[in-house]
Amino acid sequence: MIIDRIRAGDRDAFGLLISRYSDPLYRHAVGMTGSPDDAADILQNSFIKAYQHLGEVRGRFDAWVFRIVANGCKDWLKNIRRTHLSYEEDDQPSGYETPEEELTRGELRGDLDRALAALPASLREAFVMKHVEGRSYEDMAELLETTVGALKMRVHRAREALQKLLEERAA
Amino acid sequence: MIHDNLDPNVTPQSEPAQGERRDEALAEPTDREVPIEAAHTPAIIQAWLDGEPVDQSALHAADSYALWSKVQNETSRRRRMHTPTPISGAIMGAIRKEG
Repeated sequence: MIIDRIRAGDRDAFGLLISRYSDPLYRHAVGMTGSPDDAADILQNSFIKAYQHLGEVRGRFDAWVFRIVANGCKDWLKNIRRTHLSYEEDDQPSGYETPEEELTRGELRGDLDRALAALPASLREAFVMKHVEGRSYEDMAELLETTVGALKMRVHRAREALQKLLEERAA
Repeated sequence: MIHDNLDPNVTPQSEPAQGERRDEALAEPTDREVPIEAAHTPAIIQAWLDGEPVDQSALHAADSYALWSKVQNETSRRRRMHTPTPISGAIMGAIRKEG
């Protein structure tokens, strides 16, 4: 319906698609890149690309635009040579009661980012979709065009690798 | 549902027929650049993280429960992230410029 309106010339209706679908896509891009700024660039370019190719949508718009964002993230990973990560998306109060808890949380944030960055892209993608985007295995399988069993295996492998990395850092 | 990806700028992906989908549970990830070491994450932790019902006392006694509780708290926080407001304005601005 919204897509029909846009195709009919109501360009502003595209804003409805952005507001409806951008949050999980932004979380995906931040999770994959570890950089809110790069995630914003990927999201922006992806939505513009989606608008330019809107006539080619078949089926679910959210699945189609997810694929554009996911490919944007993979291209970014191929090209980037990072020496450090930044993760500065959240300046809001954390809700932790004590400085010790806040310190522990800050350490975990950094450690988790570094551990995620060390994973192969397919494992990172699966972990981010499951845990950061909160998707079901069925939804992930539809978006990535693979099986629930394959994705469970990827997420389980990602957890085992992350645990190893996090335990090493804590030792 | 499988969607045709007609965007020429998007990396093309092969779309095997339903019956031809590879069971990756037995396959090595193709993008693994270096071998990664793995810890043993107990089955009850994996089940809990997958959202399956588990025995709570056994869960709390499991190795790495404390670690994964912290990770769960952190990923829950990240799950509440929202798209920064200026992004949608920038997208709409670019679209309007297209004329």
